[in-house]
Parts: sequence; structure tokens; C-alpha cells
Amino acid sequence: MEELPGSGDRAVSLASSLAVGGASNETVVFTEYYLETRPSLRAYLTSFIHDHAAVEDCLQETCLVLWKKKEAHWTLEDFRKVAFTCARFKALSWLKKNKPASHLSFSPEIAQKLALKAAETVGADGDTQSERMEALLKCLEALPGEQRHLIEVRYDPAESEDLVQMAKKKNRTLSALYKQLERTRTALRNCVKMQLTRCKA
Amino acid sequence: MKQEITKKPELPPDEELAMLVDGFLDGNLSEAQRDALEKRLLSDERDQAYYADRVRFHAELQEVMQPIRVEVLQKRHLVFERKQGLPRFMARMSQVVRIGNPVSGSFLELPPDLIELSTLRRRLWIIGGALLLLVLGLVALAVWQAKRAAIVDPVILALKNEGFEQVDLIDDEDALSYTILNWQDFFLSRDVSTCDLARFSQGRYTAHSGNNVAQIRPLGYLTQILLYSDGSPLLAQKGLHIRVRGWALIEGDNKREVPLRIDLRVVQEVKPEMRQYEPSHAEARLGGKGWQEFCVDLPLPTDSLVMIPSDVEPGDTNRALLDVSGKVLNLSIHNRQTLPPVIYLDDLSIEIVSEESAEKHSEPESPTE
Repeated sequence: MEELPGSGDRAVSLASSLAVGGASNETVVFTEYYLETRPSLRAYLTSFIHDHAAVEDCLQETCLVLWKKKEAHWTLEDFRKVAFTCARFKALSWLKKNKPASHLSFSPEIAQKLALKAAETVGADGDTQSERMEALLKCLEALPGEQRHLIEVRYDPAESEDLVQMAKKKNRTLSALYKQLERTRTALRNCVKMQLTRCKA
Repeated sequence: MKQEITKKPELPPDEELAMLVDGFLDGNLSEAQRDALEKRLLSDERDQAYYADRVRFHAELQEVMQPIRVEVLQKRHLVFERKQGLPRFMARMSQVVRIGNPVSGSFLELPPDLIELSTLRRRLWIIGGALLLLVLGLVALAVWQAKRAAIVDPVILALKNEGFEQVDLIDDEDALSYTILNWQDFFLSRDVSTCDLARFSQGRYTAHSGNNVAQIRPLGYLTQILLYSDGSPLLAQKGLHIRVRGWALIEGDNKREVPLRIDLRVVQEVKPEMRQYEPSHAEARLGGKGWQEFCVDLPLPTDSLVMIPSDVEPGDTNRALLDVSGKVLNLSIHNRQTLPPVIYLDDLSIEIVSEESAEKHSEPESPTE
């Protein structure tokens, strides 16, 4: 296995790093498209499926279908179109098989509508996915320690503590933590918006 | 920067929507709250846009917080094979890209393995199903064989035509037949018959069971080679102990006991000179009216089965000793009275009392004809 250089700047270094590693051009292009589309695909799938592990599975299965369907002339936009179609089938198939609790999902019709909305937000502001991710990283770094820890507890799978434990430890109610989480997300979202506006300016 | 984040939050359309959307993403909405959110999202485009933005941001946070690793993996395939007797060596290299999360260990390979995950799962299901069917089939077969083994009758010593019902006398006008199946082995007695007792006695008597009985007139006898239920013969062995039971009826008003002689015999020769040996014999004393049960024990000697003939042709003086061990035994039942009464027999049975001695060994010697 070869470690790839330039891990800090994924978009810039990925193609050249993969090429240096000996991956074929076809694989390099596909990987770039997949990584670029992954966050919006995740958002799309999250509108259907609440279960995080199931979303991961659907992402992987979608990727495998895309590999089989891919064509040499595809642009990123072509890739995205097929990707969302495949993801929809995977999500609906998962829902049919698993029938999640009703309070954890919307009806398939509204879920599909919202998923499309989530997918449409990509590129709507003229930002690329990688620009958004960079901005988010910067904003995360700028978060005060306690809020940063809250985000890590909620989103980092390597974090051993969960929100219930954290609430106990801090002697706070779980709903108070969720409220804080909501505010932190809003603050981060605003920060990202601001970062992207600054870049454009 | 920190001040910008903490001091200038941009508010969502309203607090309730923010709470509902984030509650949904965190999975802590009640059903009523989920319904309220769905209702708002159905009716308001602005709310939909807020939700879409929030979901996307939530997904981006997940992407950022979960380490994603992209690796180039070099695969080497070294193959050695023998084709048409000639050794052949092949070396092939390929690169694959692996994308995944090093924490969860969940990786995706590009190009993927030839077998797609879903196909692999399907194949595993099929193999699993086939194995399950195979196991179920084997279990069913084992159960069936066990049941089959359980219903196979054990090999026992049994009399044939023990109730004398094998000859059908319904169309026989006098209700009597000289044919008495399985009871005339080696020798034919003219003084025994199969008899439909109720008709024959015009209602004075009835059979102990069924319609027919064996009628043994004075000097009449029945003989049957003793066979196990699998058809193999019972052979004479030291210490063998046989028990015979049955039901007997003495015709008329007989006031004295009538003996019924029962023997275990070995028929060594039939022609030109009859010679029989009698390793065991017993007598049932019959008396009284109606059907009476009798039971006789026929033990064979435990020390030696070398004996002189019991029955020979009149005038034959050959009394040569013979070891009857391993010879086929037959059962003889005699009415040795020279005068009436007639004896009727029904429902005979036989059993081995001392089973350890009743071993079936080598092929029996046939009597010389």
C-alpha cells in the first residue's frame, strides 16, 4: 500500500497522487467524481434514511453500481445525475426491506422531494464541494473547545463518549445538549457562508 | 474568527423549524413533532429550502468528521499451473484504489472485485439455502430411516398358519379339508384336517378364534419345520429352551385326561428309510369341557445332543448315534390315542425361552431324501 502525498489538500493533490500511485486514469477520474459527489449523495440519502450505517452501505453500493455504469465521456454533472438516480433506488430498496420507525423517516414522497432539494443545493451558490469542505474545516478549527467537543461527540465515530454520557458528565439535560448542538451547527453554517463569501470577494 | 462564530449567528426562519429540523437529524423527535415538521415542509417552499440546506450541512459535517482515506493498492497475482503436461507461470500486477474509513475499516475498492457486494450476498444466501436444504434433507432421511428401522419387526421364532385360517372353507360343503397348510412338512398324516368347526359341528362348538381349527383324529399328527420370521431355520443347540402354547378342545363328554404329545424333532432321513431324532418332548394333559389353554416346555439337553433315533421304519435296526447340533428342528404334535376322542387345536404359538442358546449359525444339513 502506498501512502499518498498531499492529504491536507484533497482536491488539488488527489489526481496527481493517484496517478503517482499507479492508478489508471479511468480510476482516478472516477474517484475524483465520487469524492466530490459523496457529501451531496450523503445528504440526499439522509433525507430517506436516518440510520447512519445504512447511509454508508447505500453510498458504497451506489458507488459500485456507478462503476459498472460509468462511461468514458462522463462529466461530473453526468456522474451526479446517475449517482442520485442510483442512490434513490438503493434508499427505496433499503426502506422496503427495513421499514424504519415512523418518527425517524418521512413518507417516501416527501422524502424524495426533500432529497432532491438537498441535492439541488449543490453548486447553487457557485461553490464547489471542496471549497465548502475547506471552509467547514476552517470553521471547525475556529470553534471554542466545548462546542468543538460537542460536535466531535455527535459526529466523530472514533469518539468513545456519546451525548448521553456527556450530558451526565456535564450535569446537563440531553435536550439542553441538543439545543446547544443546534446552535453550534447554525453558527458553523453561518461561518461557512461567510468564509465562502470572503473567498469570492 | 472565534468571535464571528459565537457572536453573530444567523437565525433560521423560526426557532420551531430549527428545533424540528435538527431534532429530526438527531433522531430525537416524537411522532407528533415529526408530523408537524412534515406538515410544514409540505406547505412551505422556504422551509423546504432551509431543511435541504441543513441536511446538506449535516452530511458535510459527517464527511469532515469521519476520516476518509484513499489508498492505491498494488495487487500481484502469481499463478503457477500445469497445462498439457507443461508447467506455466504467470505474473500479473494491478492497482486498485481503496476509499474508506480507517476507523470503521469499511473500504470500497475501485475497480471493485468482479463479484459485486449484492451478488456476493445473493450467492452466499443461495449457498446457505442449499446447505440448509441439504442438512434438512439429511435430517429427514435420518429420521425416515430411524422410523423405518423402528417399524421393522424384530426377527422372532413364529409358527406359520398358527390359527389354521389359511385354508378357506367357506365354499366347502362339509366344512372340512385334508389340506392343512404348513403343518405337513416331511410327512403327511391322513388323520388331520382343517375344519370350520361351527359348521362342521352344526353349532355345537365354535373355533377359539376365527372360523377354522385343526382337527386331529386318533394317531393323527401335525409337523412344521421351525423357522424364524426372516425365513431362517431354528437349529438344534445345547440348552435351547422352547415353549409352545395353544388352545385345545376335546370332542364329546370325555371324563378322562387325554394326552397331547408335542415334540421337537430332527428329521435326518425320509427315504428310503425314515429316521428321526427327538431332542425334546412333552405332553399336555387335556381334560374337561370347552377350550382349554395348554403350555409345554421343550428344553434341549445341555450336556450333549448325541442321541439315538426316536423313530425309524418298522424293522429297521439301525440305531446309529447322531449329534443333532446345528440340525433343523421341527415341531410335531401328535394325538397318540388309538381311539376317540378327536382333539381340536387353535391359536398355537411358540417362543424361545432361553434365547442365548438359540443362535443361528451355519447352514443346516438337509435330511437325505
